Amino acid sequence: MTEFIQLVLAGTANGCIYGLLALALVLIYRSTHIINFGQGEMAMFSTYICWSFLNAGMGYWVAVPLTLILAFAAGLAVQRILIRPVQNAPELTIVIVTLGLYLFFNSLALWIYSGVPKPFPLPTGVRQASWQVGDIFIIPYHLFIFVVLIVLMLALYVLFQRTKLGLGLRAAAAQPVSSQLVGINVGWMLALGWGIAAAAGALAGILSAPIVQLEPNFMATVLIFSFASATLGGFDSPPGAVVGGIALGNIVALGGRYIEFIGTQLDIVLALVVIVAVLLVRPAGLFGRQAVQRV
Amino acid sequence: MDFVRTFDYRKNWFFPLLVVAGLVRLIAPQTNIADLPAVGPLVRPAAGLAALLSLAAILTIVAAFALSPVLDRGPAAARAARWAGYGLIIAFFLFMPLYVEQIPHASMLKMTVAIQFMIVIVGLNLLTGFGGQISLGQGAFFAIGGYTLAIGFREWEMPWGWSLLLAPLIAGVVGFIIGIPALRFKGPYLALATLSLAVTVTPLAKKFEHYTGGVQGVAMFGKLKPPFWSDDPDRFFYYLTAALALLVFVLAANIRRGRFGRALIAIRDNETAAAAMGVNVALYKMTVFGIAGAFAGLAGALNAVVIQFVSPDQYSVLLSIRFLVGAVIGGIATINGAIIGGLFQQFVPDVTLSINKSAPDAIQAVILIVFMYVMRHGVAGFIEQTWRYARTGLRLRRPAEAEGGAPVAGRPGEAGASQS
Repeated sequence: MTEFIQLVLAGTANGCIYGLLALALVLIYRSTHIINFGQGEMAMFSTYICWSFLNAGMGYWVAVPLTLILAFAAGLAVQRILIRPVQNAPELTIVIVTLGLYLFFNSLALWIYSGVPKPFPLPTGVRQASWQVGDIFIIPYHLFIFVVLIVLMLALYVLFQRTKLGLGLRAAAAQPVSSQLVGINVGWMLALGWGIAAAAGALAGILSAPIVQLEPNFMATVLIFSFASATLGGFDSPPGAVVGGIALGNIVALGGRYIEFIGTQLDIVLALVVIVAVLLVRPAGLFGRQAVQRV
Repeated sequence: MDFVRTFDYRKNWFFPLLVVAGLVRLIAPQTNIADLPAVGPLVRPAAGLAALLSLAAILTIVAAFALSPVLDRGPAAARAARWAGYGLIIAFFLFMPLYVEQIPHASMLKMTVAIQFMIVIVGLNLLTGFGGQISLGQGAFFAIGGYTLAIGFREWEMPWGWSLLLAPLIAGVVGFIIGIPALRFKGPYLALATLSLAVTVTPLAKKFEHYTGGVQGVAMFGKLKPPFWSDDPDRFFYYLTAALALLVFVLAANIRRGRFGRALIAIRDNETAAAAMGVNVALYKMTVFGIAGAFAGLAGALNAVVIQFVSPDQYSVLLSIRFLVGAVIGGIATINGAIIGGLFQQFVPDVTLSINKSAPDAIQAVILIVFMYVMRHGVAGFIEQTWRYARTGLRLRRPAEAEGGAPVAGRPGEAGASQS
């Protein structure tokens, strides 16, 4: 039982990271119906930027917000410069452009920072040693990840539900043409969505870097897991992405331990199974809206 | 899914720019951009590619004008000219061993690998270009082919010729079966599902260590040579690969032209309408997955023979993405584009590798994105359009002038663009 709880705790912490990246994917998919295959690599590159700041002697609490702002600007720029011209192009074109982003950021990171794994520090103020409650060890950093996720969700909730800008963002996602008619600048709303998504992705990268080491491919598996999370939660539901992420984190942690065949090597197969199973049984995911197509 | 859209040069800045850039590059004294410290090495391959493209465009126009007396003689003459073109391409590959050393960066083995890439890409063209099913998982079938050969050799001591038959069969059946869940996915979701398929190959191969040799992989048997061939075994294998590729291309062209290809295009353009017309959508989709898988499996097995080694890390996600990049650069909704795509995938990484270890992928990514904006049909589509432009560009303008130059309705190409 102790082991089970321990696994759930670790799984939830990992799941929070999957949820964060899934949130980034969902924010983009919801407004533009694009699945951004480059999301993970953009996050990875942001994490490297953050590492450079830290390496230059900047404090954690200065470097991270600065990175997030830069990531936001980069996301905005990517949407305005690269995605906007192909916004109405066929799906294949958009998939290929986002794959181009994947390839570009991946190789750029390898080029600039080389493939040697780099250690990433824990946030200052978070204890390295774990707390012991009965038989269970609680790692402070896991708790930290969870708190960050909750704070971010609350902030996004306030942004989307309680501000005029959020109303504009939701309107642009739901009814682009009508929103344009009532004076919402839909183009900029979509770009803002990309910016927020890029910042959320960067946060996911920064949070997961201390757990696994920082190297150019470290977000690739996380990306697959967060695809599975977003599919599980529903590709058009931000809370669904987070719930799906936490669920998937636990599926992976428990499945890896209790299913003999899977072990630690094949956890990615679980993601594939989840993706295929969800798309076959309930394509809209747990919280998504069933898509109805007009013929 | 109408990414095969008509592409109008008169509204496009790229083509004239390319021609001008190519001419400037040819005429102007060799200013050495390569000497610029930071951008030089990056610009050089891009400039080289642009120069090649403009050269291709100029040659196409020249050929179109030079051949016009023949082509105007009617369909039989046009067909003869087309076959002459195919003959030239076949001759190029047939006599390759004689001059391969003269081509920079080329060698017998590299050409063999390039032809293997072509085989994969032609399958991908059928699947994605004509069938509209986005697949990022062709690397998985490539891996199945390679491992079939390796395991067949090591475990069952099978003659390698049988493995070459067995590999596409197994990969094809797997592709057919994978086509079943793919029936439920559309567009980006399918890309997602096939991407995760590609990702699972490496850990799966590492897991079944007993068969696949785990991380170390399987090293193989040395050069293969049939008893009747007294020449260089590499050359034999080149011709074997090329002959199989020719078979694959003929097969693909026939599939594309016949009932099957028309059904595929109907499914791509409007699935509901195709189903209403009596096309068995499920069967066709699964079959095209199977065909693409079989092609990739064949190429994977051939590749394992050339490299003499199979290991899980060879078959990463990047391999699958590279196949798609090759298909897109060559022209995804064409058959002949696969030739260009295969050569591109073999030689552009090779040329750019001298800059930096990760430069090839970065440059490919940039080329990929640029192509999506200016040449969505790839190089083959570009040449085809240039040809058509040279042949009929002036003729198209005439009806508009005859109508008294009505400025709105008279613009040629407008109708095609607005339909999409």
